[in-house]
Amino acid sequence: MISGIMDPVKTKETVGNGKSEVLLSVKDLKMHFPIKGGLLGRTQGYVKAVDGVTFDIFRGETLGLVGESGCGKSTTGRALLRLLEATSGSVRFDGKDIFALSENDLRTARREMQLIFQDPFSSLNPRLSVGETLDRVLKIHGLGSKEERENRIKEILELVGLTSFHMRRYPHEFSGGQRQRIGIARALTLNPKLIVLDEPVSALDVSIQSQVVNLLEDLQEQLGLTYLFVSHGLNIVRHISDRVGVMYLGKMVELADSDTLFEEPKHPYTQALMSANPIANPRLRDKPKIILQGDVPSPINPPSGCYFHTRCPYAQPKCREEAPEFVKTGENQYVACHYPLS
Amino acid sequence: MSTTTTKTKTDTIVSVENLKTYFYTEDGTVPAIDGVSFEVKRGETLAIVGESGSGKSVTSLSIMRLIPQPPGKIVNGDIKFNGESLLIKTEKEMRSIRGNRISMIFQEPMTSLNPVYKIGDQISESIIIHQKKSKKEALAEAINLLNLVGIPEPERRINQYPHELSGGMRQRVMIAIALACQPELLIADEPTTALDVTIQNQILQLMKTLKQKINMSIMLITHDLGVVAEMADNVVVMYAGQVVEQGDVYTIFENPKHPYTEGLLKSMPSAEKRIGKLYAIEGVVPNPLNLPSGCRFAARCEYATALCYDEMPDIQKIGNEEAVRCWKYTHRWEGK
Repeated sequence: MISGIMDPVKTKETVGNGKSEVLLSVKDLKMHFPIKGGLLGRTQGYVKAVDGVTFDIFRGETLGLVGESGCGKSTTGRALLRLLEATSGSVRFDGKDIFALSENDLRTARREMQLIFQDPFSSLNPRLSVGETLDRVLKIHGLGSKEERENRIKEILELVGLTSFHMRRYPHEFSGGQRQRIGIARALTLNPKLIVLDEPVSALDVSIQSQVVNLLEDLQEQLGLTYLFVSHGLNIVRHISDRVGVMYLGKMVELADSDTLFEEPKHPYTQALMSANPIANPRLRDKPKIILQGDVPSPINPPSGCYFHTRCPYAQPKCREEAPEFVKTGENQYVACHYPLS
Repeated sequence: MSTTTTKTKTDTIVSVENLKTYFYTEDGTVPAIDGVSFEVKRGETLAIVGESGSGKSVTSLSIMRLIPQPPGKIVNGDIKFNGESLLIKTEKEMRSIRGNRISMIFQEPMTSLNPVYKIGDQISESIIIHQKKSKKEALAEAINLLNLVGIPEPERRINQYPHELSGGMRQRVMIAIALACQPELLIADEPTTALDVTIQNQILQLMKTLKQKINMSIMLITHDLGVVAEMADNVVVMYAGQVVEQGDVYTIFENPKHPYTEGLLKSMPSAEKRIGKLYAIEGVVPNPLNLPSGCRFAARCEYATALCYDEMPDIQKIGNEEAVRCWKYTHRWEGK
C-alpha cells in the first residue's frame, strides 16, 4: 500500500492555504507538430500549436485559460501533463522537472496531476461499470486491497454527489451532468494536487453547468485542489478563475487577475474577445461592439511581428515587424503588446 | 414599459397550433413536442430557447416537414404558413417552399455543405431550381450573395470546395445559400454554437443586417441566452416538449414568470461581475418515455406544491403578449 493516496480525503487545513506558493511553473513551452507530406514523407513545415508560453500556477488557485479554437489552450494543458511530448521548454511541478522524468517516475507523478475532458461520454469506456472504471485507476497504480479500493470508490462517488448504488451502472445509464461527475470522480481517485479541466462544462446544458461548476468549487475548497480551467466560455471562466490567461495563435497575449482582465483588458485581442461576448441583457444589445475582421491566421504560417496585427484595430508599423515581449505591466498583470491599452 | 420598445408587428407568417410530434421507438412513445403553439410575425426574430431534449429542434423540423417518418409523426395540430396549412401539402409542394420561401441553417456548417461540390454550384443550385435561371445567371447571383454575406474575393471563392474555407466562412456560405431565394422565413438552428465568439459576433451582426435588407423573419433556435438577448424580439421557452413561457425579450429577461425561466437566468454566470455561488436548478430533465402526469418541471421547482405534481397546468395568457404554463399564476394557487 502506498502512503497518502488511500488515506481519507484531506481537508483544506492539512493542505495549507495562501495562493502564493508556485505549484506548477511553465517556461517557454513550445509544441510544434510536424506536417509530413510528399512522396518521401518529409517534414514540410510545422503547426506551431503552442509557441513559447510561460506562466505559473499557484497552489490552491484556479487559473483560467481562454482563447478561440486553435489558439493552443488545450494543447498547453496536455503538453504540461506530458500527454504530448513538448518540442521545447520546461515544466516544474511541485519541485519535479516533468520533462526529465523517466516513464516510471512519470506514472507516479501523474497521480498528482489529472485531466478532465469535455465530452464525458467518449472519455468513459462504455463496457465498464462506473465501479470498474474507477477500480482500474487504482489497480493500474497498484494501490490498495480489493476492500480498500472499494471503500475508496464509494467515498469518491459520494464526494461528487453520486452514491455507491451507481457503482454497478454503465455510462449510457447516466445523463450528461452525471457522466461529468464520473469523469471528476475518476480524476479524484488518486488524490491529485492539480487538475487540468479541458472544457469541462461546455457540452452541458445551462442548468446542469451550474451544478457541475458548484461541485468543482466545493471540491477545490474541500480538498485544496489547484485547477487549470481551459475553456472558450468567458463567463464561466470569469466566474471560476482567480487569474486568467488569454491565448492567441499559440502565444499567451495577456495574463491577469480575473477582475482586472475582464474590467481593464490591456491587450486589444482581450478587449475584442470581451466585447464579442454576448451579454444576457437585451438592453445592452445596441452597445457598440468591436467586431474583428477576418479569421485567425493559420498557425502553419503565422504573420510576422505580433501575430495579432492582421486583425488588430490599433496596429502600427512596428507591430508588423517586431514580436512584442510578454512583460509585466502591473501587479499580477502581464501583456504581450507594443501599445497596451490604458 | 418594456413593450414600448418592441415594434408591433401584426402580420403573421407562421402559426403553429397545438402541435404534437411523437416518435414511436422500441422503448415506447416519445412526445418530443406535446401541444406547442406560437406565431412568427413578419419581420420579427423569434427565439426558441430550451435545453437538449426540450423539443426546440423538432419544432423547426416539423415546420419544414423534415421529421423522419417512421419513427416520427406529427399526430396533432397544424402549422400554417401565410395562412395555408403545411401539413396537407404534397411533397412536391413542400419542395417548392423549402429553400425558397422558408430556409434553414444548421449548427454544423461542415456537415451541411456537400464536400465534393464547389461553393458556387451549391449556392446556385437553389437559384436554378426555384427561380428557373440559367447556370451562368445563377453563378453571377452566387457572387452577389457571397458579397452580401461578407466573403472577400467571391469570384475566386465560388470555385473552391468547403474544406478550403474556415468555420466562419462556411457558415457565411450556408447563410448565402439560405438567402439565395430571399425567403420569408429563415430558421436558424443553433447557427453560431460551433463558432468562436469573435466569429459568432460577425455572424449575428450579419443576420441582423440581412434581416432588415430583405425584410424576412427569423426563427432562432438556441440554448444560449446571451445570443437571445442580442437578437430576439420575442422569446418562446420550451421544457420537456412544451412551451412553458412566451413573451417579449425584455419581459422574459427582466420579469420572468415561469420558475424554469427564472432558474435559467439565475444560473447564468454574470459577464459583468463575479458573484459567489452559481444558482443551480437541481435535478435533471424528466425521462421523455416516462413523463410525470403533473407539471413536468415540478420535481425541480422550488415552489412546487401537491397540485403541481397532480395536475398539469395549461398555458394561459397573462397580459397582452405573454403566456405562462404554471399554477402560480392561477386562482387555484395556494403555495408561497
